[in-house]
Amino acid sequence: MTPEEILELSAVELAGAIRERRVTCVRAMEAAIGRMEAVHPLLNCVIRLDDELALEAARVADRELARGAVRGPLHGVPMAHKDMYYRKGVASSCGSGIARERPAPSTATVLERLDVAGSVQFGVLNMAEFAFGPTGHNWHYGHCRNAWDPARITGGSSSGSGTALAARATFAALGSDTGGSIRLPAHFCGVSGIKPSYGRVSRAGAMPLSFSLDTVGPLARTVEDCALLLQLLAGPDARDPTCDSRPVPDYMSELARPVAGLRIGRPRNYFYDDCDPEIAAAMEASLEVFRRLGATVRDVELPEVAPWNAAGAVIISAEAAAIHGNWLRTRPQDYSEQVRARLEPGLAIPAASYLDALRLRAAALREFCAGVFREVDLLHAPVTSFQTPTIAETDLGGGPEALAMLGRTIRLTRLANFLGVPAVSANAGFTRSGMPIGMQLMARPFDEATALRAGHAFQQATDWHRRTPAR
Amino acid sequence: MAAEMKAHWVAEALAGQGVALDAERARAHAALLTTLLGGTAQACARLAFEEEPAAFTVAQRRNAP
Repeated sequence: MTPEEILELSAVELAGAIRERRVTCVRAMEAAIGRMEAVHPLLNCVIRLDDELALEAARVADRELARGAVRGPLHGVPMAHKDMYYRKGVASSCGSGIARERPAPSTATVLERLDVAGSVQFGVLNMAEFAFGPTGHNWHYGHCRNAWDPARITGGSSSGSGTALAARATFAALGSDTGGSIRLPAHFCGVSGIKPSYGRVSRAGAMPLSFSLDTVGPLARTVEDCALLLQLLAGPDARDPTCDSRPVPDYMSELARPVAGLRIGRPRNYFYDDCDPEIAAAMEASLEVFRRLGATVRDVELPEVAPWNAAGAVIISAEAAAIHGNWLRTRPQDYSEQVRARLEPGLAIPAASYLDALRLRAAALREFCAGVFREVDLLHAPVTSFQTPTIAETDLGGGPEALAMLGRTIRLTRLANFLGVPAVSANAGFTRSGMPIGMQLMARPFDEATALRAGHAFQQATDWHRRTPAR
Repeated sequence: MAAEMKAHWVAEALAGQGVALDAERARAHAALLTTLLGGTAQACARLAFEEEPAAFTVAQRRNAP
């Protein structure tokens, strides 16, 4: 296979090609590194490439295969990840100027699980500073640029993961999602991603932003890839006390089940307020695909969401301020203006208000499930209500105008974090200007399987996810 | 807590934790907090007296498939 042909494969397809000896691990790694080096000057998606280490690991993987030893379902598949997953002895920048000085004491559980599955990490990717930004701007490492139009934002905070996948420079990438940080780059960059239920995937060895809202998940080229990665990542972990102990379903087998009979909800309120007409049209077209597949689509009335979003903001502000308090006191100048302006207010949140916001989560989840998930199996919605802005027009620093823009950006994504429910994001079309439009499919707690099944069925019936940016 | 957050209160709260704010930053932070805390208070006013944070995990499990 040529490098171009290799790079067009999904992670599942490449893993199969490697196992069947149609491509070597070294050849796949050379293709990925070559593409990453080619696109980085334009997209600013990489923080560090470990090319020599990765090529050596790929050679070892090839020798293992020659002996008939397959490590796991991702044997030899090259991946680069958001630079906030610790590897023992290596400093993770976390997109910041501060954290890059601290070698990690241990390796993240999710990296260990991908290592065991045979994946080979070849670098770390750009991200928003401390994962606290939804646009892809980074004032320490440079703003990440969208592979579909480098003048436009990638979304964040998993910015490098989204745009590197769109550019076919990695076969999958870890992201994290505290308010939309997997789904936003998946939407803006036209790739797939899943924000798992809170507690589904271990956060041990991952940079914390908000203990109560952080989730770890993959971005990938297809929903099928997301299912495979989640299969490998999910499950109990003694190193993360918030990790749920329930068994992990066989997501890959679940993908084969038909979606006929599935009940999909279209929100009557909130999600379509001031929605761009092209985005609304893409959402309607994607619902028509589900209808053709035999699903039923019905309108659902959501509870009042805005106060829950405010409570979610109180939680993230208070928890992030606690995490960053020491550095805010001693190194305020080492934060970008925007991140500092978002962290400082959290120090003034009264403890009773923070606890009230946490108390509200249980009541909100019960109300949402009773009102929405009693009626439907999935809630289908846009990821944002506006078309992809340029990097320049959203480079607003840390003042009130910037905070208002950030609030608009995460307005449709933060609900799933507050409720702790899973949400798959997948490309559902393009604007007339050629920018991707993502949909999100939210499910009841720990029902990732249904969201993945629907997303996969959608991609089997459409080809939006196969389109690639012009090079 | 739905009342307006005062800039001088925010500045004093942060100063007490070793973080200095100028007047403009204190005003901006106070305005943001007023919005967030007001929104939260509106929803929390309906919370049951006995509701506690750990109930979230229970609600997750009870509403799982």
